[in-house]
Amino acid sequence: MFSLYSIAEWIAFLCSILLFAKGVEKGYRVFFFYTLAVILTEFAGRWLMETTQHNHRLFTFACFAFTCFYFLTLRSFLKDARRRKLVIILLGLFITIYTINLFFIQQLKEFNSYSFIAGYTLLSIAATIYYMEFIQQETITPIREEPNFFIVTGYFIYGTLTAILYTLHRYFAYMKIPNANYRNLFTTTSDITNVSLYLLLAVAFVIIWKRRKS
Amino acid sequence: MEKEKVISIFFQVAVIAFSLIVAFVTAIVYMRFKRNQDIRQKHSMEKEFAEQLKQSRIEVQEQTFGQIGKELHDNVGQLLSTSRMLLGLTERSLLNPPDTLITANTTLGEAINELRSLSRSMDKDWLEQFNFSENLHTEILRINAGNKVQASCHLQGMPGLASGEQIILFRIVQEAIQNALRHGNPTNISIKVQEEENGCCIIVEDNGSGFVMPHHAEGMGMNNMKQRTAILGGHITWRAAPDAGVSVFIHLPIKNAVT
Repeated sequence: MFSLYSIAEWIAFLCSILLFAKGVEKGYRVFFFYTLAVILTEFAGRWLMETTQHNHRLFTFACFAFTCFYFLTLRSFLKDARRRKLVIILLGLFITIYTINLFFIQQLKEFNSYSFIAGYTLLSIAATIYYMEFIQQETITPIREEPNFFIVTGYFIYGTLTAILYTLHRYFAYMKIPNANYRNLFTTTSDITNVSLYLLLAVAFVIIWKRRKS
Repeated sequence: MEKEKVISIFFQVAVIAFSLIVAFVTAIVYMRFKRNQDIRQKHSMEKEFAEQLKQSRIEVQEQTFGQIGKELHDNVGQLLSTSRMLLGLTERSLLNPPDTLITANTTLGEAINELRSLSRSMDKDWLEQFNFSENLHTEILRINAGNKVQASCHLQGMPGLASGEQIILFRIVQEAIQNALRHGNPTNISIKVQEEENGCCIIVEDNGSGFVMPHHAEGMGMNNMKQRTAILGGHITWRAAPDAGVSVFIHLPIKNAVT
């Protein structure tokens, strides 16, 4: 059965096909490959789970790649050179934390949640940097015509909530609370974050397609 | 029991966090909305200020024209009239006045007439008594009186404009004619009106020496004409080439082109 967020992923993927229409800014086409990669990762993760193999390694690497993608796309939306540099510094910090965690702390024994708690917190900070620039823009910017705002809002909701979720997950593990006790909380929150991200991306893709140059 | 309580508290924390995120994003949207409103207001104020600036510039120009016209009529005109009267007296006192004196008297008379019509065309109060077409016809007569240039105008389909707007349009056409006379040395000048899809176009054409169209640098006269046309909500274009004369196209929108 398809879960709610899988449907949202497919909607985002189908909408990303619009980015190949004539007149659409070519840079946005990278989102098609991103949504495709998300769906393929999801399939691979399910397949590994069904064949009773561990899928945490796959997600440790996939989430790292996706998080780097979020940072880089967010950086490309910024106009101010100083802010762009700041986002690169945040990305560098995330890569450093990820590397240290991968080699010395959690390693490949489990999903590298510490890396992503830090990574998604840094992503939320990067999104806030974008919001600051967005508010300060001196040109009239109607929000419904600004796809970058929807994309970054997707990253922000996803990043902030996932960081909280992983923190809770680690805390419950520390408290030795069994997985079954909070599975519902985990699934619901996870669904909200994923659905928010992919639906906001889908909206952004439609806006990009609508404002294409004829 | 305690563990269940911990889960419950964290569930609440998650809900609060989500609400705060939504509130934060809403605040961003609201701030952007307010910013857009401020920028719009600033733009409209700047536009209004520029309009007022243009209007006051035109008014100052009109006042200057009026003053020059009055000076020409009251001062130079009077001096010329006195001179003509003295010439007339001298002519009458002589039994056989020389031809040069008679020609000088006639030429002076023509100069006085020319000066009178020129000073009247500069007087705004005088202009307001007539419409654009009548004013233009007077201007054409004045030019034709010189016997050097043949001017004509065909004003069928001429837009009905408010008095103030007619003066502005008249000044634009007047400037175009003066430019042709001053720089082009033409033998023919024609003024006609052409109906367009969204208004009309007043064309001032001459067969003078023309000029090479400047790409960037434009004279004060051209800028004045542009500004005046913008006040009427229209736009002005030039078509010129060396030895091919100049055509000035004054495009007026429908709001100013009610026949």
